[in-house]
Amino acid sequence: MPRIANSIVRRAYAQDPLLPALLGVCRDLSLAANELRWLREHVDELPLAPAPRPLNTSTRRKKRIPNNDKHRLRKIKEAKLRDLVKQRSRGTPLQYLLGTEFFGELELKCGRGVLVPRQDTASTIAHLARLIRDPRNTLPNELRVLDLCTGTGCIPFLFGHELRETRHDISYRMLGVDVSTDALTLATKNLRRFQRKPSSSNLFNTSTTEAKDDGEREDGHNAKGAKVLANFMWADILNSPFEPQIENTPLPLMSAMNLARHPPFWDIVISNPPYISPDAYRKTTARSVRGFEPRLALVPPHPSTIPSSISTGVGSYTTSWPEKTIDTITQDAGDTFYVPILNIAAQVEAKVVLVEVADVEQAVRVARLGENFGFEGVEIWRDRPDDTDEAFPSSPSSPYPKQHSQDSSPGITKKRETKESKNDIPIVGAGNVRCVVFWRGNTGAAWLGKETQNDSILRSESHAMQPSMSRTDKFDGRYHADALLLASKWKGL
Amino acid sequence: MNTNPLSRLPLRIFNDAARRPPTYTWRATFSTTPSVSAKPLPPRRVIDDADIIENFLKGSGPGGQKINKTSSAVQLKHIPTGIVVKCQDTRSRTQNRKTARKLLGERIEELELGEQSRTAIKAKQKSKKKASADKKKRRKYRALQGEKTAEEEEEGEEGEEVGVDERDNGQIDARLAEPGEEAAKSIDGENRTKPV
Ligand SMILES: C[S@@+](CC[C@H](N)C(=O)[O-])C[C@H]1O[C@@H](n2cnc3c(N)ncnc32)[C@H](O)[C@@H]1O
Repeated sequence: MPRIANSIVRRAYAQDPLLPALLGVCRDLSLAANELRWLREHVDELPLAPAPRPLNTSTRRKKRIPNNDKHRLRKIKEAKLRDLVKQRSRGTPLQYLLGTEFFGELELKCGRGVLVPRQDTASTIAHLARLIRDPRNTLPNELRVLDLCTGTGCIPFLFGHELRETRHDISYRMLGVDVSTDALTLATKNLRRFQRKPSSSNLFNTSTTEAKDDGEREDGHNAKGAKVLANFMWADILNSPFEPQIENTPLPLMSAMNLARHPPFWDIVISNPPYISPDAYRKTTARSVRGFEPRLALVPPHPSTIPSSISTGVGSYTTSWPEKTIDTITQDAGDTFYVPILNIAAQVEAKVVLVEVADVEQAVRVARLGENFGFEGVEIWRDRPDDTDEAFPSSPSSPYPKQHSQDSSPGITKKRETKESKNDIPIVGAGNVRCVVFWRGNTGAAWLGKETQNDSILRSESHAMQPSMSRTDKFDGRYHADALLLASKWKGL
Repeated sequence: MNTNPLSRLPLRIFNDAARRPPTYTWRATFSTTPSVSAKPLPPRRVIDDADIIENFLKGSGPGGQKINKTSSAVQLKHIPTGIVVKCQDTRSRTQNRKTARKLLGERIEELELGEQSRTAIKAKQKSKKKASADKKKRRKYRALQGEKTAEEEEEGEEGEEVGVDERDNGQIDARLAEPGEEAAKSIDGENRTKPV
């Protein structure tokens, strides 16, 4: 990394003596100034107890802290701030020091041992939710989102928040899965926070919503209307039910889901799994990420350490692979999680799947896997998938002629990139390649706003079919107990 | 000094504003004369999102899990007018995007309407209000002395809403909630108050 110019260091010092220390991690004066401001605000808000009063003070309660106490408090806070700046300058992620991170419109608790949610993830998740919540979409009475590798739980929380911005007509069921108990503890804390403060999200902001803990859940619906059911579960998505289970280690996903009586079918599967190969971890991953965020959240285990039925999916959902595909998936050590995830998505009969990826090369490799799991549609999204002409149809009332393509002012990159394709896979939006989206069947296509062959028929029909053909009825145990039994036998549950 | 008045507001107010679509089309009706007939302003400029270049400063690079960015700064450029606004007040990029759009809307209006723009009017109004609040303070003091008149009582009631400390909040609230109406109300109110 290039050294920071002396002139900038001097300017920083003149602004604030604490500032130069932050230049190394921030690489930019204005960002360093922002970080210092946020750290200072954080320290100011800390509930620091004033020094204990000497016993011989008068019995009359003094409202104002005596001057020397105020002085002490200021000293304590200054010391605290200096300490935080020091930690930050050594690479500790700012969010660990502040204890929270913003994820779309939500503020989430975060902490050491759990990956800090990334803003890029938030924008793709918000976009997906906005597509799904489209008023023209016919959604099931209970929309179910399964998030594999959930970390802080940020993904299903934000999805639900965005969904319920407009759709209060349906229930939302979310299940976040992680192998790390630290992550699950944090995710549960976040859930409690949203429950305690309903105004902090759309999830629990009406009296009709409720969340249930793992274990004591309710089946089906009551007449009261739409609700939110949020759960987190300890499971290992790389574990196979056909291998001997070791005590005190997380169960395979399907076994854990079955044991906790979670529904076996989910509409949408989302995952931001560890996707950095050991090589890329060493070479292209930021020092402060490597040094402070858990490796478990970033680098997949070596394929040789996981059952082959899991790493190839063979024998589970898919029965065979074209030779070429096998080569593709074994080619990069960062790809380990995608086959198991797509396999699970196929088993739970997901209509839409979104998985995050590192770059366009990984995106293309992953996109190619979809076919083998029955997904008919695939698309690659960039960091800002909504950033297209299509998503922002120009308003006819705009008084300005369009001329944006000629613009080339410094510091501002061209905003719009229309769909382009790499190996025939559409790439949507602006920014870096961020995720791959799969869909299956007319339902999946319609939810994403894709024109299907019999699109018009589907839309009019599905309206007519509601609610008798809704998913809830179809899989409701009271009406289709035998179908459910058959299904679970079939899946080896 | 922080020049953005929004940064001093509690987040709750942000969130209310956040629910609004990024393009605002509210209309203002107010009169510059004490007369009752409110002359409508031309409809508020619609900012076409296609006319905006959005840039997340320090937002380039690989992204994803490999890096943990803390920058939430947002820069908007309005292509037709060349106006550039930047917002980096909060750690929430989503919030900064909304604030930046609001600022841009104001700048564009200022450019197009000059003295007639909402911000210009607000600024004028604010200085007038300060004057009138000072005047009210003096009146209240007099009232305490037992010199209260009927006219002053009426204005005194209104004065509760124009407390010096709340003025910023009130103003922003008005702008975010139903700016047209609020503006009309307070400007009418102003006009009733004789200039000091
Ligand atoms: C990249 S982080 C993503 C966290 C969160 N979804 C986000 O976007 O911020 C990956 C997560 O996967 C979890 N994980 C790693 N191996 C796993 C496995 N075999 N089964 C389930 N979760 C796993 C890690 O504990 C970590 O929380």
